[in-house]
Amino acid sequence: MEMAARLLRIKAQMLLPRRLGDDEWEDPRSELVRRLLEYQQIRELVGWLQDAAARRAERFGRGYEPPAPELPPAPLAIDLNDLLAAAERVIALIPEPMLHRVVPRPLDVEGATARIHGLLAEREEFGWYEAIGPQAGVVEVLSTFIALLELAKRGTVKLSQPEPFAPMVIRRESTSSSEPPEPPRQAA
Amino acid sequence: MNQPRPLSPLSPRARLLEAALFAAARPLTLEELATLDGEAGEAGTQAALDELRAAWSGADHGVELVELAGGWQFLTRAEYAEPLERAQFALRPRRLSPAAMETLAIIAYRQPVGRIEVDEIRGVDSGAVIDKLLERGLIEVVTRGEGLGRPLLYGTTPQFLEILGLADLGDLPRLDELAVALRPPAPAQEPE
Repeated sequence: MEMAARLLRIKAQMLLPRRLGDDEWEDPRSELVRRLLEYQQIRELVGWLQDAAARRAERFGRGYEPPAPELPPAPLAIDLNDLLAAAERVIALIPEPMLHRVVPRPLDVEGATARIHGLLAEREEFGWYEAIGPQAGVVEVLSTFIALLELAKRGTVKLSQPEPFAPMVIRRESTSSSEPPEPPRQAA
Repeated sequence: MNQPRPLSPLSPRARLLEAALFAAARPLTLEELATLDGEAGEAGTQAALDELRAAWSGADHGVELVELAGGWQFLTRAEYAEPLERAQFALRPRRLSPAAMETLAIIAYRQPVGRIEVDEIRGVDSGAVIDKLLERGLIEVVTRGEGLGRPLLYGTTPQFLEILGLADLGDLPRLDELAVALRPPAPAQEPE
């Protein structure tokens, strides 16, 4: 990259016009030639140093500690069973993906609404536990809750909570009747 | 059996030096040898050393007394390298890589020299090579440069002279003796 930039610069300098007899001008190629010669000189010195080192290496001093030989890696000595066992160990390390089964559970909001209407017809006020009924599952609880919110939106019931985390109290709205499906008509 | 040629007996001082040089596993300098005999002084030690060199100079022995890295050391003669190595009594040290030699050559001739200059001449990054040469004790930090960040400047060590079998840096070829002689900052026309 640097060399490419340098060559480009030299090319540009050569293309630029210059005045005749300009002593300041120096051939930009001379710098490159100097560098190449310098490197060639170093290469020649390397040859000389290598010869000197080789000559010196043939003469041993006392207490010469030979460097520890570098052992090649031992050849693999395994059979097919070892290979399969190794593969099994690797496979065993792969974590089992966590799968969740998603079951569609239809919420019975209409049924819950009907049940609440039944309760409202009997009483003016009742509690959350009565609304969901005995032995309520997740589906019943959710259905009832959504039905209650819907009814409260329509103004059929009024939801209140005496204190935080206390069970809800469901109260019939005074304006509403026991026939909630047509509240807009009544309001009109 | 041939009767060996009788050698002229060495002086006691030369024998003392011979014992020291035999025992040492590294080159011993004249100053170090002079400490063996307090009365000898440098001149006396030099005379004893000359006597010893004369005694070991011929091809009569398997070892020779070699001037190395500013000192003297007994080394086996080159012609015995093969049998000694075959018998695994000694092994030739591993050769330095061309990159390491290149870096060493630049540092030897330009010392004290910084990494940037080495990189510039070689045209590649020399950091790793310099670290390896430092680790092997062939170069050392001699001073810091004046420039930005006061860069570390490197020079060669006696160990460098030792692995090349040189007495001192003056044994290196002079640059104008090389085939490619640089005459900076001459325009350098002939690339030969």
